[in-house]
Amino acid sequence: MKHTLTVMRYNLSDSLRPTAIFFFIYTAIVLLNALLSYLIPGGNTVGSDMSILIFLFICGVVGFRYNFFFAMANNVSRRDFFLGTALSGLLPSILSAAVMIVINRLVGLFYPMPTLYTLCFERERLIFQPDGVAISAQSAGKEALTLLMSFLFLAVLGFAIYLIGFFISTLFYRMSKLLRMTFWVVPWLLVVLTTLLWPILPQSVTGGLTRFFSAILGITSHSAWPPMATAMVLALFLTLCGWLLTRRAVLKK
Amino acid sequence: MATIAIRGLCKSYGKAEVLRDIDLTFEQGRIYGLLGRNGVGKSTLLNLITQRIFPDRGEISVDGTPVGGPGDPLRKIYCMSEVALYPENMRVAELYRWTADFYPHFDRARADRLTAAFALDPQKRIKSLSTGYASIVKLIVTLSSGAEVLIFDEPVLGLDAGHRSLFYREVLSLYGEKGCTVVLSTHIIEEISDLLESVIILEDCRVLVSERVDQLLDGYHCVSGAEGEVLGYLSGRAAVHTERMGPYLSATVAGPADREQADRLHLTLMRPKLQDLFIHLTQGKGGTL
Repeated sequence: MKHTLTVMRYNLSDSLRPTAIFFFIYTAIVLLNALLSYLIPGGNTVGSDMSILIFLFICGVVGFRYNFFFAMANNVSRRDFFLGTALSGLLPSILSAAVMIVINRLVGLFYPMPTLYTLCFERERLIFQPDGVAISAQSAGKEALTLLMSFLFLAVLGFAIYLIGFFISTLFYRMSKLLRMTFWVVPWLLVVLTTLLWPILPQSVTGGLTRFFSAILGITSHSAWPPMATAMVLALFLTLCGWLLTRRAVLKK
Repeated sequence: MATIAIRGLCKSYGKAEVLRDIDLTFEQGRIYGLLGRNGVGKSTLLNLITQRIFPDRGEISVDGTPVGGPGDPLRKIYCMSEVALYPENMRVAELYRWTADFYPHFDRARADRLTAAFALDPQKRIKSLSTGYASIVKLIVTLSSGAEVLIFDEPVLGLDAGHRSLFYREVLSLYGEKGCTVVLSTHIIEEISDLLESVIILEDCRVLVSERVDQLLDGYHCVSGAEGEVLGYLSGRAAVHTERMGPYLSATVAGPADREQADRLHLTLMRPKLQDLFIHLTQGKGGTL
């Protein structure tokens, strides 16, 4: 367990500089964008928190290979390495969500800025401009709750996306070059097959699938909790698969 | 101090068998030479010991505890690898700091002293180091790790003569000071032969030799002198290695020396060289002239 924490500390320290650079650029662009949106009608700041999710995904994707080599150099067990690396996504996810909320509030002083959570689950609180661009409704009574939910939604989604990225990097490490090259055909095949099969599937099946996905993505309940739970369950499942891959991973050099 | 026991170890890469039924014991407080020709499985064996790769069959234990088992027995071992495993962007000083986090007995004072002795800049990043200095960093980290078993896989890769000499002196000094177990896997046998207490030679997927260097060398002797006299001495004996130097001939011969005959022929008897024996044993050549 001691080395799990050391691996965590190492990962966090290793990602400190890229994180600082990312947030510097992120903050600058969001503030500039907000300023421009304030000065020039028609601008918008929607979706800036998506970049945080992409950043966390990248953190996960680069999490395996080089850290694994360093762990092997120090005779760190695969369990400590895996736990340490997986858990080291937790802090950046929470901090990123917190930073996003702070920036959101700062920008909100001059220009209303909807969060990903508001866009997905509190659309009634949005005001749509004539050009179709959404901005946050101001002075709503639920402001604090919305901020808390925005924070939770981004933190949970961020951590889940980090874990998914980590799983992908583990999977790619274990795969041969040929498998890695051909792996990308899988999502494409899924889309093609779904498009082809959907019309010919019985309505009871397609209806059931639609209802299932509507429920787990919070579309039916119009709540953020089901998608957060879904993201975490999916991430934890993939993390378990990642562990099965890691426990037999060998040094490839 | 730790003892490493290996029982029935087998490893193949696809259809290529590398190690077959290896039984070995690295006893505590000894300096071992792990020798073998290219591709014979030396690095594979070391990687198996440290669980960087997994065996097909067999067991490896440290002080009776299987590696990868409870109690973290690998903490007693530090293995300097031939390949680069450290993050390229890390500075040398940072590497010392992180190693100290993983190895609580890491001797920072020793690391700093060696850094100065090798004239290494601790602020340099790993990626900016030359081949020789990249090896030096690994040597310093291993020597300072505080582990009970120090494994060096090709330790002097790219090192100049001065640095190699410094490394050998430091190994002996550390061994004298702490009595740790040292495993040196290298092709530069001539240089390490005086350091070694025991030698393990791998050949054809198996352990060909595993014994004390003294015992191995006692089975052979080296004779030199005028070519005609040496050839006369060799008559009916198995020469495992010969070397001509102008009118003189030097030969390594299997079996005990005949001091009387050597004196009669005015030949000089010497202790054989480990490298000559190694070449003979691993090539299966030699025989009589």
